[in-house]
This record gives sequence, structure tokens and C-alpha cells, in this order.
Amino acid sequence: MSAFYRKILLLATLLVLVLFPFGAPGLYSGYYVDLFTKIMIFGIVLLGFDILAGYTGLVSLGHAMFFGLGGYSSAFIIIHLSSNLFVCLIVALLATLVVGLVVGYFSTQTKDIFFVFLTLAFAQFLYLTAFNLTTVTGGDNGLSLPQVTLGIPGLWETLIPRPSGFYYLVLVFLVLSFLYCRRVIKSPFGRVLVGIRENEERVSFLGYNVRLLKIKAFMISAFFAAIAGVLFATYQEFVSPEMLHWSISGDFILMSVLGGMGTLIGPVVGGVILLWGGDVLSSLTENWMIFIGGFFVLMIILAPKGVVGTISDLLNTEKRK
Amino acid sequence: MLLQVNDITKSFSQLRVLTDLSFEVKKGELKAIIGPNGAGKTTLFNTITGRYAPDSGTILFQGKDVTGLKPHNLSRMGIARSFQINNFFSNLTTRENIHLAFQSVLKGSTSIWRNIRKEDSLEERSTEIMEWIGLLEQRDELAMNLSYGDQRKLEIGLALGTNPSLLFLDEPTSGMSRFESGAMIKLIEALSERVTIVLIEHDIELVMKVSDSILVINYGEKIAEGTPAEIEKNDEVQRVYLGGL
Repeated sequence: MSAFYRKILLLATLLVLVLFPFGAPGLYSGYYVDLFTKIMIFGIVLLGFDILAGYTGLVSLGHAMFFGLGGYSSAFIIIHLSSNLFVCLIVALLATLVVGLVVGYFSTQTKDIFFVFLTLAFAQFLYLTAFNLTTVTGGDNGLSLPQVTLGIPGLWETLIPRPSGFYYLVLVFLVLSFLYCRRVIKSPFGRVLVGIRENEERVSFLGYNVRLLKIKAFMISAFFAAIAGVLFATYQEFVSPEMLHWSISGDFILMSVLGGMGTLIGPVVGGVILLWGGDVLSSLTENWMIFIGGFFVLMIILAPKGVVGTISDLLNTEKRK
Repeated sequence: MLLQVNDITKSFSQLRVLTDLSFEVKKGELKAIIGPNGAGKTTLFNTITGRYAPDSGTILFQGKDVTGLKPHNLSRMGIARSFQINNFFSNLTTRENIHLAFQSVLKGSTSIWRNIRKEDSLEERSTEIMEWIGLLEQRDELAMNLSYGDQRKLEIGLALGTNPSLLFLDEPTSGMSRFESGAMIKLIEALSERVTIVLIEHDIELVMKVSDSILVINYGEKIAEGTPAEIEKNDEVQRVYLGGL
């Protein structure tokens, strides 16, 4: 597909997303605006996650840790300090900076399966902390939080209208995230990340500090997970250890593989398929997970490069003919 | 002296691979390292170029102690190497491979916000290198689809991309036909006009022809060093290495 058509497709998608809330409740129930808000929040995580897993080749099974960290940070801030979204974001990013550097520093000493399990171990540590530290985190019951506000703290603040106000807020974050991540993968930095994925040793012999670059990629992806966590928690007005659970990290991987790792947009498509498809299927049958699982197995066997990876391969061979 | 290696020793658990090995590389020369299989040639390369740190001994590059530095530090100082077994980016094209190498010496080589600009001459320099190693026509081929001979050239192209002042070539002709290796040696001779080269090579005749000086090692120890003529006359070398020829 030429760059031109890709751009048209992206803009068309954006247009649909912008117009989407206007269709409710006339064409479809407002429930779908809510669902798509959640899907887009996942999309933000997945964009950042692809930089680490898809482009750098470091598959983390602990990214729920940053999703949850963003969530809990904003919960504490809203409950104890300020209801302002930007204060939440800043604190969440600072917390992620600290936790991300520690986890990134140790995890990037390893690779492959060891990286997978080390990130999982760190995430489980946070999960269990949230679960057991009942006095602070509310434990399994989680924490309910007041509504988040937009604006300048102390001067002018406003609640975010629901559902469409929040929908557009998340959409703005998604678009900015996409633009930033695309910037990253097209930058000199992004090219070296691909080199690390393909042949880490040679990259270091070409004069690049592989370890440092891996930590950078790790931090970038962690930041996006944290931003998404802030949005998720403030949207739901609720956080619980569920957000930190390893199955959320697993979902990130599942969505990425399904959509196509290393294609940036692929994992987001995977997220749409899994969350939307799961929603549709679960309304039809109780055993909807079987169908998701079956679909996943089929995809792995028939199209291991994922939906977007496979389609772009097909279009490329078409062009060469 | 461009490179001074002083008494380096390297062991892997009980196995001593290099023993008190010393040698020097003068600026501008082409130095060959020869020795039987398992003599420690590649380990010597690995130890100098940062894959391993030596157990003892020092390595000086341009007078600075570089012992135990990491590959990326050494690369930035101007030491590059190629590998005996192809070690490039198979899923990238020839051009992308060379870009990655040359990009590393540009300003903002790992920047997120800075683009590679025209004045960085990335494209220009890469084209020059590809032309030089004879891979210009194959620039859009994936590295894994190149012929074996071309892959060996790419291996050298990658090392050249970082603009080295000292280039280590680990058996660039390994696995090549007689004809191909002849062309490769011509390339290396031409290269040695521009950059100091340390070369591991099995073909003694070629080594004798192209190198300015030769280091012979066996069981990780230096047994001789000198000009090709001196090495040819050396009895010890005759015994352990050239005896069969």
C-alpha cells in the first residue's frame, strides 16, 4: 500500500472515530461509546508496547504494572491532593520514571524468556502489594475515586462530560500517542531498535550502547502504559488490583500478536478485534472465550505476522508481481 | 604505535586460550595473524574488540588504555571488526544494513527528535561504501537473500561503515571459492591504503602476498612475528604451521 493510501485510510479512521459519538443513541446504544473509550485506552498502551515488544523485540509480561501504577497514582492524587487530570498525569509519570528505571535496569540485563519472567516477577510484586496493603490500596475491594477535572488547578476547573467528553479526551491522547510513536520508529533511535531486535550483538559492535537504548525503549513503553492507566482509572472512577494482574499484561501480548507486532498500528487493531469481538461474542454465548482462543490459534498457525502484518505482506507481494 | 597489546591472557574455565600474548600494530600497516585451527586467533580478536575482557594484560589504542572496554566504546574510538561467521541484519536490506553502521558515527545517531539530514550525507556515504564493496546493485535485497560471496562483502561493509581507523577482519574469505577469495583479497589490499588492518586469514599464499607484517600464534602463544620474508624463513613457523606445505 502506498504511503498515500495509508494516509487516507488513517484519516478516514480518524474521521469515523470523531463522528462516532454522534451516532449514539440513534444508530447504536451509547454503550458502544463507552466500549470504544476503553478500546482506545488500550490502544494507547499497545502503541507504546509495540515499540518495546514489536520493534525492540523485548516482550514484557509485566506491563500491567505500569498500567496499574498509572491507575493507583491517579487514585491517590485525586483522593488526597487534587482532582486535576494533569496533576494525576505528572505524578503517574514521575512514579513510572522511578519504577520503570528500576525494573528496566534489571530486566534489560536479560533477554528472551528471562526478560519475560523478570518483568512478570516485578509486576506480580506490585500486584501483591496492591492486593495485601489493604489500608492504603483498599486491597481486593479497590478504591473508588471522585470525578477527575480538566483545567488549571485553583483557577478554573471543569468536570469532563460523559461519555462523549471523555471519549474525545481519550481520542486526543490516542492520536498524540500515535504521532509520537510513529515519530519514534521513524527516528534514528527507532532504526537502531530494529537493529537490536534483529542482531543485538552486531549493533553493539557498530558503536551503539544497546543496554541504554533498551532501557530507553522500556521507559517509553512504560510511560504510555501509565498514561493509559491514568485515563482508565479516572474514567472508571475506580481502581483495583485487577489493573495490575498478569492477565492484563497477557492481553497486551495477545492483542499485539493478533494485530501484528512491529507494525505500530497492528497491536491497536488487535486490541479492537479482541475487545470488540469479545464483547459481541460474549453477548451471543457464555463460552465466548473458546471462540477467541480458537481464532487466536488459527491466526498463529495461518498468519503469524498478525492481521496488519499479513495484509501488508500480501499488498507488498501484489505490488512486486 | 596505533595498537599495543601487552601480555594478554584469557582463559575459559580450565582452558587457557591466550598466554601472555604481546604484539603491536603500526599505523597504516596490514598485519596478518595466522596459526593452526584452535590457535586462539578469533579469541584474540574477541578480546581486543571488547567481546571479552582479558584476564590480565593491557591493550592500548592510540596510547590510551582500552582494556576491558565494551564493543560500543571501542567502536566509537575507531576500532571496527568483521566476523568469521556472518553477523549482520538478515531481515534488513543491504542499504539498511549499511545505514545502521554509518548512522552510528553521525550526530544524533540515536536521537528521537532529530532526523538524519541531507548534510549528514548518510545516503551518499552509504552508496559510496556499497559501490566500494560492490553491492550497489543489490542494495534493496534483503541481506539473507544475497549470495554467500556478497554476504561476506556486506560483513566487511558493515565494519567499514563506522569509519574506523583500525579494522579487524576475521577470515573474510572463509567459505569462499578460490576465485571469490582472490577478489576479496584485492578489496582488502585496496582498503589497506586507507585504513590500518589486522587480518585473520587461512590462505598462507595470500597472506604472504598482501601483508606488511605477520604474527604467528599457536596454542595461544606467539611463536613468531615479522615480515613475510622473515616468517617464511622461521624454523619454528615451518615446523608448526607451514610444515605440511
